[in-house]
This record gives sequence, C-alpha cells and structure tokens, in this order.
Amino acid sequence: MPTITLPPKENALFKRILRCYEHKQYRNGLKFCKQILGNPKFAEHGETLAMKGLTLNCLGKKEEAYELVRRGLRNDLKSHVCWHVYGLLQRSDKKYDEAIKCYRNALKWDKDNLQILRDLSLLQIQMRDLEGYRETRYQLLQLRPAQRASWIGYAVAYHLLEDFEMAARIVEEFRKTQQTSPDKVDYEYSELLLYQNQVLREAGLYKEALDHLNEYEKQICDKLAVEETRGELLLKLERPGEACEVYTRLQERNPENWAYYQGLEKALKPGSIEERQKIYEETWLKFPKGLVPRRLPLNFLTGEKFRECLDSYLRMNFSKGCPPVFTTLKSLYTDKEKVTIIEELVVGFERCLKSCRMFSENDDGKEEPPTTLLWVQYFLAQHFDFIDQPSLALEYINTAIDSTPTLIELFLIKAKIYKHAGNIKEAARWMDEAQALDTADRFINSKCAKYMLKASLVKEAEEMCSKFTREGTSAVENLNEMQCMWFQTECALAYKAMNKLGEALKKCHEIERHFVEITDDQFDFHTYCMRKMTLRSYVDLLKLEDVLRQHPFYFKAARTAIQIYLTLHDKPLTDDSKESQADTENLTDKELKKLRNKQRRAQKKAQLEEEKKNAEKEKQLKNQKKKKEDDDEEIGGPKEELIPDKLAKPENPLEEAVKFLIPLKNLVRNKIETHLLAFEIYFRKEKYLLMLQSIKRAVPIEPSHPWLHQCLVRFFKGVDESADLAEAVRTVLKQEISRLFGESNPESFNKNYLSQHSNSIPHRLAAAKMMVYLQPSSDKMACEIATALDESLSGRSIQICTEVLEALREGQLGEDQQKAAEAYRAACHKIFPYSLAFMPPGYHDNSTSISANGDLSAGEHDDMANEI
Amino acid sequence: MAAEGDVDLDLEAEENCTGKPAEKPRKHDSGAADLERVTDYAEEKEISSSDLETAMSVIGDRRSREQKAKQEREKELAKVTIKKEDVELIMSEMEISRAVAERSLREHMGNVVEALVALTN
Repeated sequence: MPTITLPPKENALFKRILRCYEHKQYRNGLKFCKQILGNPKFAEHGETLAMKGLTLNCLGKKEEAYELVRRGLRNDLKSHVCWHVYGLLQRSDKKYDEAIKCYRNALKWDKDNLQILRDLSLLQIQMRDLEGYRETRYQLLQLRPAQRASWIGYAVAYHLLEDFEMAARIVEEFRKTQQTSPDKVDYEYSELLLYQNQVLREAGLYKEALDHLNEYEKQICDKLAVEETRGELLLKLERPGEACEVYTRLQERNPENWAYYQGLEKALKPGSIEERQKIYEETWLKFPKGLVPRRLPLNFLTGEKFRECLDSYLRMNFSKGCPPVFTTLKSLYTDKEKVTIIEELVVGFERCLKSCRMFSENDDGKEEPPTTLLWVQYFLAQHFDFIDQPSLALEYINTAIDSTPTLIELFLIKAKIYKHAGNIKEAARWMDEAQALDTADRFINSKCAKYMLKASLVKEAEEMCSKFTREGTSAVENLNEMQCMWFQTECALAYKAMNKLGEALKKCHEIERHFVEITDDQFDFHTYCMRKMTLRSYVDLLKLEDVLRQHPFYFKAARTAIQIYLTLHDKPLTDDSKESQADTENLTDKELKKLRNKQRRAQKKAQLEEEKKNAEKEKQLKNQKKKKEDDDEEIGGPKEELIPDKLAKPENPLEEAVKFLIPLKNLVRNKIETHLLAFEIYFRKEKYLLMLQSIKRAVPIEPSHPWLHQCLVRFFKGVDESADLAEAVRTVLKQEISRLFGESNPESFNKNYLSQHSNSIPHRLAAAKMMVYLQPSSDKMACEIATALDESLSGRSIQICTEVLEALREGQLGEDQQKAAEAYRAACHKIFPYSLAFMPPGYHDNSTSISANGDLSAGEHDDMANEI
Repeated sequence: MAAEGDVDLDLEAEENCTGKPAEKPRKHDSGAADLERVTDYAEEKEISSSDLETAMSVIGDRRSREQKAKQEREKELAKVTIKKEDVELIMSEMEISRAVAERSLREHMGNVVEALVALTN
C-alpha cells in the first residue's frame, strides 16, 4: 500500500488534530479529521485514521477506535505514528505488554522519537522493568540532556535499582545545573534537595547527608523534615550531644510525638531505669498536661514505680473523661504483673469513688465529678473483657449504663463484650442499640453494620450502610465503587459462614479488582511526579505499589478465597440445590419446617424488593445513558461480570486458589499462614517440591505451629507413599527432609510432637487429628487427647474449643463421635456460658429481629430490663 | 519526509496527556478535579546551562562499565549446557515459567537437583 503524503494544507490540519488530542479537545479533533478524510484523495490516510480512532477512544467508543486504528496501521505499516497510536490504544486498555511491543515497532521506524521513548519508559516503570527503564531513560538523557525530566528520570532509575551512590551523583550533577538564588523560595528545588538527601542517607553516606542538610537548610521549605532528619543523622553519626539538642527542640514543637522521646533516649543513653525515668520526669514539669511523657515510662517501669506513674496517668485521663485510655494501655497486658497492678489500682478507684467521690481515701479535699466514676467503670469493663472475664465485665458496663443510659460508648463496649464472649447475635443487638442513639454518626453506623455481618445478617447490614451511601444506587454497589473493603471482607466472611460460597467469592474477587485498579492508578503519576519534582513521595508511592498486596485487606480476601476454593476442590458443588442442602443437614424436622417457612417469607420479600429494584434500575439506566455520552469511564473495557453461581463452580478451583496465593507468597513471606495455605493447595495438587517449599518457609517462623504439624505429617506420609516421582525430585526430597528433620516417620513424628506439647490444647488437637489420619482405629484415644479441657492446659479459648467440636462433628477425630461431641459441647458451655457455639441443641435465640432503625421489639426490652 | 519531521515535533510535545482519560476513576467525587489535572498537558522545562557536558561524561563512564559486566555474566550463563527435560521438570514441579526455570538451571551449572533445592528455599 503506497503511503499517502499530505500536502501542506492537510498537514497543517493533521498537526491541529494532534494538538487537540493533547489538550483533550476531542470534538474539535474529530472535526479536523473529518476535513482531511472527507477528501476522497486522503480518505485512507493511515495516520489520520489512527488519530481519529485514538480520539474516539477518548470519547468512549472503543470498538470503533480499534477498527480505525487497525485500519490506519494497515494502510501505513511503516509509520511510527500509526504504531505509536496503536500502542497508546492498547495501553488505555491496560494491555501493557502489547503496548510495549507496539512502541518497539514504532521505534524501529523512528528510533530517536522522544515521545515514543517517553511513553515506553512509562510502561517500563509501570511494569517494573527497571533495567529496561534505565536503558530508555539513558537514551532520553542522551537525546535531550537539557531537559529536567531526563536527568531526574535517570536518577530515579538508579535509585530504584538500589544503586544509591550513582543516583546521588546524577542528582548532584543535575542540581549544579539548576540556578537558584539562595534567598528565593523555590518549592521544587526544595523537594529536589530533600530527595537528594534521602538518596544520600539510603546510600549510607550519613556524613555527606548531614553536611548537605546543613548547607542547603535555608532553601528547604519543609523545616520539620530538616529537623527530624538532622536528629536521625546525628544519632547515626554518634553525636549524642547535638542530637539531644535537636530532639529537645522537636519535643517543644510537639510534646506528644513518641518518636522524639525515643530519639532523646537514644541520644542520652540512660544507664539505669532511674536515669531513664528522669528523662520523662523533666518533661512532666515542662509539659504538665502532656500525656505521652506519662504513658511511655509505663513501658519500662515495674513494681512500685510503675504503680505510681500509672496512678497519675490514669487520674489525668479519668478526670478528663478520655475514652481511649484503655486502648493506650492494651500493649502492657502482655506483662502479668502489670495487669494485676492495673486491676488493683482501678478497682480501688472505683470503690473509693463510689464511697467518697475521691480516687483514694487519703486524698484530701478535691472531689471528682460523677463522670469520673463512669469512666472508671467503663475502663474496668474493658479490662475484664480483655482478660476473658465476661461476667464481671458485663457487671461493670451494666452499672455504667444504668447511671448514664445515653452514652454511646458504653453500648459499644457492651456489644464488644458479647462478641468476645462468643455471642455475636447479642453483640449485634447492642451495637444496634448504640447506633440508634445517634443515627448521624457514621463510625457507629459502620461498626453496627460490621457486627451485623459477623452475625450473618447481610441484608440488615446493607440497610444499615444505606443510611450513608449515595442515594439512588444500591448500598452494596456504592460501597464497591468506593472500594469500601472492610465491608466487602466482612460480607465475604458472612457469606462463607452461610455457605453461600459463590457470593463470598464474588466479594473476594471484587476486593482483588480494587487492588488491580490501585495498581493501574499509579500510571499517571510517573509523569506527574517528575514534573512536580515530588520525588520523595513518588519513590514512596512506587515502593508502596510494589508491596500493595501485603495489605491486610488483600490478605484477608485472598485467605478467604483460597479456603473456599479448597472446599470447592474437596467437595465440588454439583447442582444448585446443594448449597442450601448443606445448611439443613444438621437440623431437626421442626427446625427444618421453621427454616422452610422463613425461606419462603424471605423469598417473597426478596421478590418484592427485586421488583422495586428493577424499577429503580430502569430509572438509573436512563440517567446513566445520558451521562455515558460524556463519560469516559467505560474505557478500559467493562470487566467481566462476577456471577456467584459461576464462581462457585470453577473448572479448576486449585488454579484459581493459586492466583490469589502468588502475591502472598511474594509479599507476605513473614506470615506462617501464607505458607500453610500454600501447602494445602500444593498438597491437593500433589506437587511435592512446592509442598517442601512451603514447609521450608514455614518452619523458621514457628516450628511447632499446630497447623504446620498437620502439614508435616501429611507430607511425610505422602512422600512415603508416592511411587512415581521423578528421580531428581526424589533425591531433593530425601536430601532436604533428612537435613531438616532427621527422621520422617509420620507416626513417631506425631508421637514426639504430642509428648513435647501435651500441655497445649491447640497442639493436642493437631496431634489427635493426625493420629486418626494415620490410624483411623485410634479414634478413641485421639478423642480423649483433643477433648481435654483441664484448666492447667494452655490455649483454652472459644476459638480452639469450637475447632475441637467441629472436628468431632465432622469426623476428623473418628466416625460417629456425636456423643462425644455433645458431651464436649456441654463441658464447653459450662466454661463459656455466653458462647452461641456451645448452646444446648434446643436453644434458639428468642429475640432475632434487628431492624435497621434500631427499634428493639417489645420482647427485647424485657430482656434488656432483666439484664440490667 | 519533511512532513514526517514536522509530525515528529508535534508528537514530542504530546506529553502526559496521551490516552490518559481512560484510566481516570471518576468515582470519588471529591478530588476528581485534581485527578483530572494530573494528566494535563505540560511543557517540558529546559535547563539553560553549559555544564551539561561534564555532567554527561560522569555518567557515560559508569554506564559502559556496567554494561560490560552484565554482558559477561550473560555470556557465561549462556555457555552452560542444559537439558530440555530438566527444564521441563523444573517448570512443572515448581510451576514457573520457562525463562525462570532455564535461568535457575544455568545458574546451577545445569545441576537439576541443586537448582530444585534452591528453588524450594
């Protein structure tokens, strides 16, 4: 196909098309396209066709865009413009690999094209092809040494490749070319200096960094950063005297910043606890109202000194009425002695405040206001909740509620106590009560929704959230759009608990998509940050994006998804009725009938709502259609719709699970769960080396972890019994097992484990399960080992007891353990009387309805009265 | 060709606005305007300095040394002979791509057991 060359007039038009595109004037651009293509001589002009396509793409007409761009390219295969445009189109579609190929083709026809090189570098950094990025940035620097971005980009490339010295040198060369007068405030220059300083520090050049800081201090706008960095550097350079001065100055600036006290301690290097305490005592005089200087010594003081310091800290907080005071002390609860002191002290406060309105009989004069007693009781409720004494906790909170029935915080704690005691339904009810006291408080609204979800009340939770979500859309949709991940995580767990696996998977995938979107969103910042010189934040952003899926939101979603896929592998759903059937298996006739009735009612309700929703949807659709005309959001391809029923029947559940696992393997290596989940997947896939990998990574984290033990036993047994392993694989397994464990006889391994950890319930359960796994006839003994509940055993909790009960019911401790299960349940019920998991078989909650409006039904009021 | 040249110049100036609107989430209502600005067109600023040459030379040296070292390592690795079935075993056992499998096998001088042990670490 001969390439058409445009005459000057049309060529000018074409340039205007480009300019229009740059300035986002797409409609004008199209007009000019029409002027060129309208002429039959140029109707097939490749570059114009391509540009028309690209412009249309920006207006949301993707299909048309692809067609035009491809046609343009076919008409002019030797045009770098056409290739470039095709690359841009692919990029907007997030097909980065394809886009890179297109750019490379474009560069073939014009190897020094700056714009294409720049676009290529953006994709390389986005895909973290750091070597490639450095190459491209080098070419750009060669071509345009006079441009700022060339230098900065090249420096950043070295920085990311962790060649800090080189990065620092490039920045320095570049800085020298920047002419600034020392008194002029130039924010971008200031940022450059701070970035340069950061690179120097990362290079370990502390002396240079400090000199650099001192030299350019005046030109740096972020004074706080200067001072904090200086303190840090002086400490690193072992110049404690100066460091001390810096941290004292910082302390005066903000006496509530923990880091400054730590800096001060590091500078002064106190030799004894007394000296250490003195650092803080001095600040008490300087900042009598400061809380942090009083809180921090509690970490290292002990005994009488601890009591004294705690006493004044608590008095300040209680008199003032400071709700989070308990939270600030939580970290001390790992120390038993401190817990006892806290308890003695605060219980004493309560007694005295009740009798004489003072913290202690020996106090002279000053009476406390009645609210002080309230906050003390509030504290005690949390204290006893935290040390697993729900009855006492409830006593205190109920007394407090009696005296002040309008304080939301009290109900919050009451709900929390019930949650920890194992009765999430009751907890949700009290959270609802709290919520009803202030329906305009979004925090409490969210809390309430969360509790409802934990109680499997999904509909109610949605309604609760809808009070704050945008009107006109459904709450769930809106929350998804807003990437409200706590809600989706809890939804997933709720659906999983209700055995609605498809729905649960949908939520997990939605969360996963948020993370994809967050990754994509960084694209724009590659150019923006370099232009604005906000390099510190930019590098931070890149590092954050690298480990994005470390975030607990992702971890939870991935864990839930993997667990579900494992279940689906073990027990695939065959037809639609299965899902609901699983629910009904353990129910009596009467209960079944009730359930059916309930389902019927729910269905009816759902139908009505569906109709309502449909009507609303139609309305929305109309609105949306109008909006879409201008909205470019749809580009990037409408993602495949997530359909619960389809998700619940994956072709290969283990492969799906691996997809969620991979980021965890790379990013959350320090969590043992990652490797244990990995093992469960590979065990089912019979990939022995990958099992070995999971084990090798898990063992250093916690060698005696009960779940890990179960993995090991199954692994040894599996290796023993597998016949058709490749020679190399067998060699590796043998070599590594004997290196790591010496022996690998599963039976004796299990026995040893049990004798080493016979005083811990979780470990006993693991060993017992494995006993049955290895030798089904040992179920009686296994059952005894697992069901021991003696007080001297460690690790006794609702969670582990529930697991034991489940194991009994599901046959992991031998078939037909229903009787043992019932006996065990009764025993647990005595220990954990509030927990729903151990209620007698006939038990059912008689006050089930929670409305989103927070009205308790009459029956519930009675309950409440009884309790108070 | 003259026409082509002109086009180049214009494309150079294309800058950050290329194809971007596509990725912009309009969802978060507040701050949408700011986000919009992130992709706005902006002219490159130029450095007006004569020191560029020395600066450039500092960088050039370092770079050529680096490239050499890298190439040598690659050459060395390429010399190692590896068996196809070993590569395939590693790929299927460890569930990794061919490139990664090959590389690890080469790094262990073609010893499949050693490569596998390293991969399970």
